[in-house]
Amino acid sequence: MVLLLALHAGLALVLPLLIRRWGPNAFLVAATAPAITCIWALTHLPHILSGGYLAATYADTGELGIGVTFRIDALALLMVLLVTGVGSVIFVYCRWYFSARQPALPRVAGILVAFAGAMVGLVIADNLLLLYIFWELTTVCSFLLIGQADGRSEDRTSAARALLVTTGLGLPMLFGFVLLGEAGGTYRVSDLLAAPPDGAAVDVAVSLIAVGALAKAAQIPVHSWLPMAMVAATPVSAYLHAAAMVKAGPYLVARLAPAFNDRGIWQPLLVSVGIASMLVGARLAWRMDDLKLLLAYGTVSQLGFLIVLFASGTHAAGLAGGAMLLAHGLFKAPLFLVTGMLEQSEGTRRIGELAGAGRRRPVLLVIAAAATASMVGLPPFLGYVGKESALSALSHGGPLDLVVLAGVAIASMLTVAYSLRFLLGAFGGPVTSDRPEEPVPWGFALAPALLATAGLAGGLGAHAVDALVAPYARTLPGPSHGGLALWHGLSPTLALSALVLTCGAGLQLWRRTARFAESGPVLPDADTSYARITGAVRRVAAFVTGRTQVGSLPIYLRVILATVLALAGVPLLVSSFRAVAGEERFTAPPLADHPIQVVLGVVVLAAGAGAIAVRGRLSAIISLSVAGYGVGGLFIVHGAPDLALVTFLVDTLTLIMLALVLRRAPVNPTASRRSPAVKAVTGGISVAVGILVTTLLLVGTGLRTGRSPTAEYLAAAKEAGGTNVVNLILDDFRALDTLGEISVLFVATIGVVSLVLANGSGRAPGAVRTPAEAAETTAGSEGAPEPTDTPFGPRTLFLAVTEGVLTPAVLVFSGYLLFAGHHDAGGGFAAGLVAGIAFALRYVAGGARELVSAAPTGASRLLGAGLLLATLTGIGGLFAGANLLQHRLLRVDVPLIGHIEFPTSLLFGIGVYILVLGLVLTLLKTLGVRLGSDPSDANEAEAR
Amino acid sequence: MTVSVVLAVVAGGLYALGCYLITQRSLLRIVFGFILLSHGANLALLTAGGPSGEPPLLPVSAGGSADPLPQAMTLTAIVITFAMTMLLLALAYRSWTVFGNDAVQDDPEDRRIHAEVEDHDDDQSGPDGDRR
Repeated sequence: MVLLLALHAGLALVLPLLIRRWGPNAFLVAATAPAITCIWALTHLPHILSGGYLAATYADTGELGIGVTFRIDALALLMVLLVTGVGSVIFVYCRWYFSARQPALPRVAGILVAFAGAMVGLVIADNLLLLYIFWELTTVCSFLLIGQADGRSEDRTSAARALLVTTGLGLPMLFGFVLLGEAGGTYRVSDLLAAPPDGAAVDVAVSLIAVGALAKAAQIPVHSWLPMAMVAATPVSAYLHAAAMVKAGPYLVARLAPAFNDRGIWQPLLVSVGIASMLVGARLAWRMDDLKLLLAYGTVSQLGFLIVLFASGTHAAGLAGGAMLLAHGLFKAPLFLVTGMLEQSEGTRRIGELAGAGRRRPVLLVIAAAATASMVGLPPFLGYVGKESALSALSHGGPLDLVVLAGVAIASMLTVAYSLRFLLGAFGGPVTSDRPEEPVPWGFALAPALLATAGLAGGLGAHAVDALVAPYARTLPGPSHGGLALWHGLSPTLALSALVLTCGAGLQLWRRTARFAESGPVLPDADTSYARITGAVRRVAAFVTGRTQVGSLPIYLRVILATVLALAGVPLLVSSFRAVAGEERFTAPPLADHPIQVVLGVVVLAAGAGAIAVRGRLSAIISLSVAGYGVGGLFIVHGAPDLALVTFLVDTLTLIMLALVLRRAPVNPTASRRSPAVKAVTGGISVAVGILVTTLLLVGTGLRTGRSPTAEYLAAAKEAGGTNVVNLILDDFRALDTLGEISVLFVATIGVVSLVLANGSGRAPGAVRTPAEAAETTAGSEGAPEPTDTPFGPRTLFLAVTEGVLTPAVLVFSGYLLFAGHHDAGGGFAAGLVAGIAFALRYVAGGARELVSAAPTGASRLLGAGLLLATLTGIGGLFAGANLLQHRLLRVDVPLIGHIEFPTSLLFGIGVYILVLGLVLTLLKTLGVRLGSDPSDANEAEAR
Repeated sequence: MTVSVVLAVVAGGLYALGCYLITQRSLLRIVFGFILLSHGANLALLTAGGPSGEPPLLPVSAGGSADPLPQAMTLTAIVITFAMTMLLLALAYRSWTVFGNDAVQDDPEDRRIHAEVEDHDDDQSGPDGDRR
């Protein structure tokens, strides 16, 4: 099953390319996805109709409840056949409907296929949350399809409304799903239906789900999104109405009805809203002048009918609902398709402007007449079978059912009226214009003709439809009243049908009522309230944003810090009091582990405070680096030599980079314009944060009861044949973390490169000059940097000689660190940083030319190679029959050299090494060389 | 299972200094604040993992070693902090070249909405407020 969905998804991705190459012909390829699904479903028809089902589970998270589980039973099969059958025919129609000139066509085509796939997924999903995901996928697809054409603002409004209404009311439904799943202990739909949970939560849940289903099915009072969605292309409308999207509402009702029909306000809500929608939709459809709008309101009415039938929850009503579901798909789609063809040939789809189309396009007239006949319920069409059995099902109930029956009967009369209005309006009237006859391409007309014929065949072969729908209907209680059939004998229902047809025809044909249709009072709809709600949301949002978002980053940060203090500080205070009061097992901390800790601590804090206090920026960065070295010292005392090593290296590199970048910093450091009060607040918050962290560390570690995993790691290290446990963790035990971390390094480096090398920086007029520029201006052209100059001035012999001696030694040392890392302090990160420092030294002492000649290859290549090597080593583990990133110790006896132990994790470490070296080289090239020769400076120099 | 008071105080002090610097307007001082803050965070991460001990290099004596796991995490954190600092520096550089000064700019969109709401209020309080 998942293959079929993958087929849709894949085709959705490929189709835009095919459309670009072949034009609309590619729609014939697109039709294969639903067609294959349809044929596949047909092959399983006998098995499922005999009471079986197909199920598949691809991933199940167990307790989380999110599982990719599918299940096709009779109801799902019915929906799949409808969705894919109508879908493939509509795709064939698209081949002739669209022209290659539409620029948005490739995208539309892709989304349409994705839409079909999402709909298939929705009906076969057997997990509430999976169902919700597909549910919203159809919403998103329809949003994109409605809003695609030419980017008119009207389209966007319609698309946004469809999205807001269906997802907005989809959220309560999601809440209902979660309530239901938690109450039942499972999110599997089939399990929930087999053993329905009990309780008040379930009552609430099903009511919320009903709300979502009603919104999706465009029922009053939120129906107006559906007629507004008529701005979409006609095939899209046809699919949206006949088979996809809106059909999800009745489907969900039908799916849950067998188990939850008597819970909460499910049935009263659905039936009453359904009846009201039937009446309002039919009334509005009857007055529409635009053929598509007429059909759209007709859909609102028909969907109300479907919901009433499925929510009635009896065997007979279920049968009728299934038949009507099919019938609606088979008559609404051809009517839309015919409307689209009329609009293309006549240039309009308004009843007032169309005249004589029936004489010129007899083929279309026949197709439309057949579809309309099914819509009004004329025998022997499928619509008649459905409506007849619906009336029969509703007439066998109590007094309340009779009220429902009356509503359905009146709505059906209105349906007859608007159907006639459609047919006469579209095709009636004398030929007024002398438009030439154009033959309709056979494939174009074939699509609606096929669907309309299927509607006729369904009526003639009512027993086949009965077999298709019966397995679902049997899950509902009550008698079947003879099942679906064309002829039930002379019965009150037959009389009622005849009455409905006569009265309906009379309503449209008798002039006075017909005029009432166009000018009579209109029932209220939710247009104004939708506008009012969205307007109010917008105003509140602007008000809140305006009041709370002042736009200043320092203020935001202060608010965030204060929030942290309030939220984390209070519970912390409580537990500190408990700790001090001796309520918990609290270990009092020692003052210091070693006397040197106190000295180092004072150095770190003094240097940090110095970085704030000093005015000069160079002094500040030197203070910072003293603080960093102090922290490294603390690491040594703590028993973390690897950390200390890396801290020293990083600190050194940071110092170099800061100094390099400072060359380009504006000369006027923004003077502190803050008032003493603001300073006091900031200082207070900062000190409070500091106290919070100190207390947290002391109290948190003092209260800790969990055991440290040290012993496990030591044992595992012994097994892995290494002695440096930290590096084994990095390269072996938790290598996946490290892989993620070096990916972050990779991405950050790309960020630096793109920020520094970005073109079109467009310096603001009157921008402050940097010190380098200021120096250039005063010194004239003599100040221009020579290519052999170092970043901080001309070369000095002493430095140059020193680096010449040191660099090779440092590089050898970095190699040592890399290989020693398995057993001693070192490892990939430290070694890479050391190698980087070797090149930094070369650059600082020798300038850009030296760096370029010394660097082994392109820095970016090193970055990529490092990440690639680390990843490949990890994948290698998979091929060696182990897990991803699982390493092993290779023991080889080489002649002459002797026994060699080679851990594969070393390869991973080499990857890290190369990547870190690439990172430092890239930084040197961007923040160093590139900033030293700013293109804007070059331009200015030329201008002079 | 406890840390020394000194380490906790140093970590807290670095947080305080870092927070003070990042709430300022100067981009360069924000970068400085970020560096101090990350020193504090690394120290806190390490100390939260447990008491000090011997370096986790086998063989370990009876006294036991420091917990290696937080060390490994802190190690990568230090390197990532370095990359992030460089990214911040590049951002600051970009801001310097575009705006020509070292100050954090106010968000113009927020400012605009703020001004709009203020205007709206003025209109409401005026005699013709109902017209809107």
